[in-house]
Amino acid sequence: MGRKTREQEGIVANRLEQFRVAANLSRAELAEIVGVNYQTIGYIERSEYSPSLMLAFKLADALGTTVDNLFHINHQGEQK
Amino acid sequence: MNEVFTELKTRLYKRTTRDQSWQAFASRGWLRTLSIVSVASAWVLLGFAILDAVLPAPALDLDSFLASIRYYLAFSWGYVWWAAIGSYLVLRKAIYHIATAPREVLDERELEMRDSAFRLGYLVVRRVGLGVAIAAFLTVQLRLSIGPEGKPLVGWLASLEPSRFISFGLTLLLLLVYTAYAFPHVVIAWRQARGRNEPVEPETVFETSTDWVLAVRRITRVFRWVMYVVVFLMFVYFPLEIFKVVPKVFDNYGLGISSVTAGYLLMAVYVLWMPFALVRLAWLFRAANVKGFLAARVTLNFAQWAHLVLLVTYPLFQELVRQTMIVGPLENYALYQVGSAILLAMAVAIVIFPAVGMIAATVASRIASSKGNQ
Repeated sequence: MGRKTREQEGIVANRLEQFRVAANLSRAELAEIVGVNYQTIGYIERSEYSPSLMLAFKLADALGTTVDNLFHINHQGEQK
Repeated sequence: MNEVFTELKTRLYKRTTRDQSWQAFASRGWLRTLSIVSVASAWVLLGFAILDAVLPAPALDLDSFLASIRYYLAFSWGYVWWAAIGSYLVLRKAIYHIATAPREVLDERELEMRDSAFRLGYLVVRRVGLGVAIAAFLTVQLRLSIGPEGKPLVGWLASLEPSRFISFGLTLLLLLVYTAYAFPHVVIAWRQARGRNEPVEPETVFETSTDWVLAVRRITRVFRWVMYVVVFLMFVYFPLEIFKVVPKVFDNYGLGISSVTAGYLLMAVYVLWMPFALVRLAWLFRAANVKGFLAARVTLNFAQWAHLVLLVTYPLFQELVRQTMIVGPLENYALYQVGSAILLAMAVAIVIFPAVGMIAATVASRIASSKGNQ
């Protein structure tokens, strides 16, 4: 039993877009609050980029929720 | 010392990224096209270098198939280098805000993307470099090796001309340097283009007369003085030409040299300025946020149309002036003099009008950048 590959481990999925829309924020506005480029928010929403722990906490804080509400591991075959 | 460099780098970064005109090349289509051109032209250059080294030089038969292939190779060589270097430089400008930015201004995703692109670039150059070094070492050794019968071990290699051998090696070296510079940028551009995000258009901005004055003042002092000197010399030259003093000017060695130097300066300014100005012209016509730049747009339109009209009418008018002398050289001499002066004025305007349009576009981009920065 070797270590699992990244694909086997699954991807970090999130509900960032849902929370952002509920908070009535644009990508650019949320990016401004957490101090990243607006494109980075798009990448995270599409699960094309997994944020650092620090950024995850900042996002959760900005959207008035917790990190485990916002992010979860999506194992292979699972629906996002 | 390190702080000074960081400060300078940050200042240059801010200044470059304020120029929104290059963002036209940050769209997905442009990033992909430029990346493909950069990579494809590097491969084509490698192919050319191999063909040049392998193809035998035609003896004296210049009409042979081989000679024509060599001719087309030599003809295309420069254009492909231009495509390679040009695509890299435009790509560099389009992704400047990531590839060349100081670490402090990038977020974690951008830093990760940039670091991995440069790491990948290093690995590629390291492996290609190793391959080239081994190939060069083996080739030189085999070329010098003598077989048991006293003949070269590899006949065809020994028969290669040394100059072509060196030229091939130098091209490989240049391509390796090109790859070291361009490859990380290509990787960043390709990854940036992969995202489905569209660039955010900045809000529409409006210009005022004060903006124009401030923008002209912000043009680099050296560049401004070069332009003043060139324009001054042109306007001095114009009346000198009309009053037929120019031959006397050229009789004077110092004045003649100054005039020629002014011409070269003008050409240099045009050549250096042209690509930047053209990008800004395109931006002024296409970007949604600069619809409020009325003066710049009117100036640009006037300069463009006036230039076109002058280009079309110049040869016709020239013929008309020529006819006055054919019909009656003595009685039409005064008319011919006036016609010649008008022709000269038209020629000067043909040179100046595009510059006026480009100045309008450059100033407009400066105004937009200063407003975007507020």
